Amino acid sequence: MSERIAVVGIGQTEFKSRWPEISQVEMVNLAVRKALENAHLTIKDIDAVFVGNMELFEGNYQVDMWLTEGDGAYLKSGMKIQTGGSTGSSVCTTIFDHAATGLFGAVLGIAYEKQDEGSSDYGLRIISEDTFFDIANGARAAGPAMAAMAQDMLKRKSVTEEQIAQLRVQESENASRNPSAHLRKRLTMDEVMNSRLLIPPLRILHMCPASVGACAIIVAPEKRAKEISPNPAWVVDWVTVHGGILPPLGHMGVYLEETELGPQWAFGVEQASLKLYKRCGITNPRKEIDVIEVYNMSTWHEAEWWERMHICEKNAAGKLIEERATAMDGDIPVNPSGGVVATNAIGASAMQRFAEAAIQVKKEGGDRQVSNVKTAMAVTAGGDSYSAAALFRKSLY
Amino acid sequence: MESHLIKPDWVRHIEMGLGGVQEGEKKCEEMTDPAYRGYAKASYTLAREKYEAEIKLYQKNLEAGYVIVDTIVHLPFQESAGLRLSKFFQTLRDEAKILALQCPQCQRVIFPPRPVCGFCRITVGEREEDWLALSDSGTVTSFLVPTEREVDRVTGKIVGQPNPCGFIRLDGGDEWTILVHYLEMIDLNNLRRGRRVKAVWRPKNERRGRMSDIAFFRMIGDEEI
Repeated sequence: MSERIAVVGIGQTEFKSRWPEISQVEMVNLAVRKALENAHLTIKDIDAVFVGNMELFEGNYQVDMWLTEGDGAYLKSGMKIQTGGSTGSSVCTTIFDHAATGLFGAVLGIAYEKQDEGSSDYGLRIISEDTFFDIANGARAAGPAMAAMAQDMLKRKSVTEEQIAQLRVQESENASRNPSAHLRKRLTMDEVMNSRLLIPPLRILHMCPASVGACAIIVAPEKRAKEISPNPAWVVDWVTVHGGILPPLGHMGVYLEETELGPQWAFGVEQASLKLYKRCGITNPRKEIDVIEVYNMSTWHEAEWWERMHICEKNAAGKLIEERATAMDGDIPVNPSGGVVATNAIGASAMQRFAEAAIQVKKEGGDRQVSNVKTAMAVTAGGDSYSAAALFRKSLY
Repeated sequence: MESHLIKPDWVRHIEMGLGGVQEGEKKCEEMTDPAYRGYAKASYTLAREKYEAEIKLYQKNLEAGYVIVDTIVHLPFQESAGLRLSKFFQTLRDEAKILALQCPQCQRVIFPPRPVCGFCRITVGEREEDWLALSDSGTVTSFLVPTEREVDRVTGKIVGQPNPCGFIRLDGGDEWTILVHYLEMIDLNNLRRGRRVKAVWRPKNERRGRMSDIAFFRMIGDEEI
C-alpha cells in the first residue's frame, strides 16, 4: 500500500537569458529557499533530495555531487535524474514515488538549467547524438521533426498558420501575467506572422527560448502534508512512459506520421495521458479537468497535443483556438503560465509544468490564477519520448 | 582593462573566436551559391553579435567584482560498434551495401541494425537469413537546412558541413528504414519532401567503415510523396 501524497511547497527563481553574477549552486539555492519558505519548512525537515538537469549543457556532470551545498542534500537520500526535455517531470515522478513509500517525511525535488554557461548544441551532441549514424548533426533533428509535424497539421487542416499565430499571441498574454516567465512581452499577430522563418512553416517566435533558472518542489505523505500545509495540492496519480521502444531509436527526428505510431513526441504524450485517464477513471478530460499545463516546445506542439490528449477531436485544434477555449477564461485553460515557449530552462521546464499545475490547485497563481480550479493536469515530453503526466486535486481524493 | 592585469580566459577565448569569425566571413565570399553563402554569413554575423554582447556583459560583471572562469572540455571517446554494427560497417566499406535486419516474427525491417526487435523483444541478427540489403536510393521524408549553424566558441569556425541534412527513407525496407544523412547542395527551392535521392559513395580506398563512406545523397528525380 502506498501513502497518499501532496505538493506542499513550490519555489521558482526568476528566469532570464543570462545570469553571470551567480553560480549554479547559488541559483539552485534560491529556488530551494523559496520552496522551503512556501512550505514554512527548514532544510532540516527534508529527508531526501533529488536533482535533475540536462547534463553537459553547462559542461557539468554528477550535478547531484556539485550542488550539495546549495540544495541541502548533505547526508540525505537522493539521486540525479536526466530524461531529456522531461527531466524536471521525471524528478517529480521520482519524488512522488519516494514520498508515496511513506519512508520519508518530506521530499525535495530540484530541476534547473543555466544555459548561459555552456553550449546546448555541443551538450546535445554529446548526450543524444548517435555516434555511428548521426554524422550530419542529427542531434539538431528536433527541427525537421517539428517541421514535419507542423506540415502534417497544415495538410490535414487541423490548424492554419494564422491560428497558430493567434495561439502564440494567447500564450504571450498568459506569460505577461506570470512573474516567473522569461519572455513576458505581449506579441501581436503581425509580429508572429512576420518573424523569421526557420524550416517552413516554423517561425522563430513559435519556438521556445533558451532560459536560465531553477524550480523546486516539496512533497509529503498525507499525515505530514496536513501538518505542513493548509492548502496542499493532492497528487492523485502520476505516470511516466518510455517511448524509446521505437525501432529507429537514435534519430529523434524521425518522422513517423506515416507509421502506426504518429510523430514520436506526440506518441509519448498520448500514451501518458491515456494511461493517466484510465487509471483515474476520467472519460471526458475536457469536462473533468479544469486546467492543463503542457510542455509546448513550440506553439504547434500545444495544438497537436490537445488532439493527442483527447481534449478535442482529431483535426479540431484550430476550432479550439478560434473559440479561445484554452485561454485563461476559456472552458479548458491550457498553460496559464505562458508555457515553455515563454520560459525554457530545459531541465526546469518540465518541473514547472507540474509546479504550475499544483500552483493552480493551491490557488497561489496571483494574476495567472484560473478561477474555480479543482483538478489540474500536467503533461511533458522529452528527447526520445520520455513522457510524464500527473493529476492534481484540491480536495483529498 | 588595466594593462598590468592578465586577461581572463574568457577574454582570450572570445578574442580568438572573433578572429576565427573574421576569417570565416572572408572565406564565405568563395561560396558560389548565394543561398548557402547567405546562411554562412548569417551564422557568422550571429556569432559576432553574441560574442560582442558577451564581452560587454562579462566586462560589466568583471568590473563589479564577479569572476567568470572559462572551461573548455575535450572528450576523446572510443565506442565499440558491437557485433551487428560491425558487420554493417564492414559491408558498407567493402561492398558499398547498406545492410538491415528483418525481424523473423513481425517482418519489420530494423535499421540501423540492432540486436533486438523493439516490438517483439526477440534477438535478431544471429542467423544469416535475418540480414537483407537495402537500396542506396530513397525518398526524402524531411530535411534540415542549416540556416544558422553553430560557430565554435574558440576557433570561430562553423561546425559541420554546409549541406542540408535529409531524412531519407531507403528503398527495399519499410516505413521504419530512415537514414539521416547529408544531401547535395542544390538550389533550396528544389529541396522538398518526396524528392528521390541516391547515395554518392566515396572511392573504395577512402572508405573507412563509417557513415561518412557515403559522401552525400544526390537528387535523381522529381517524385513527390
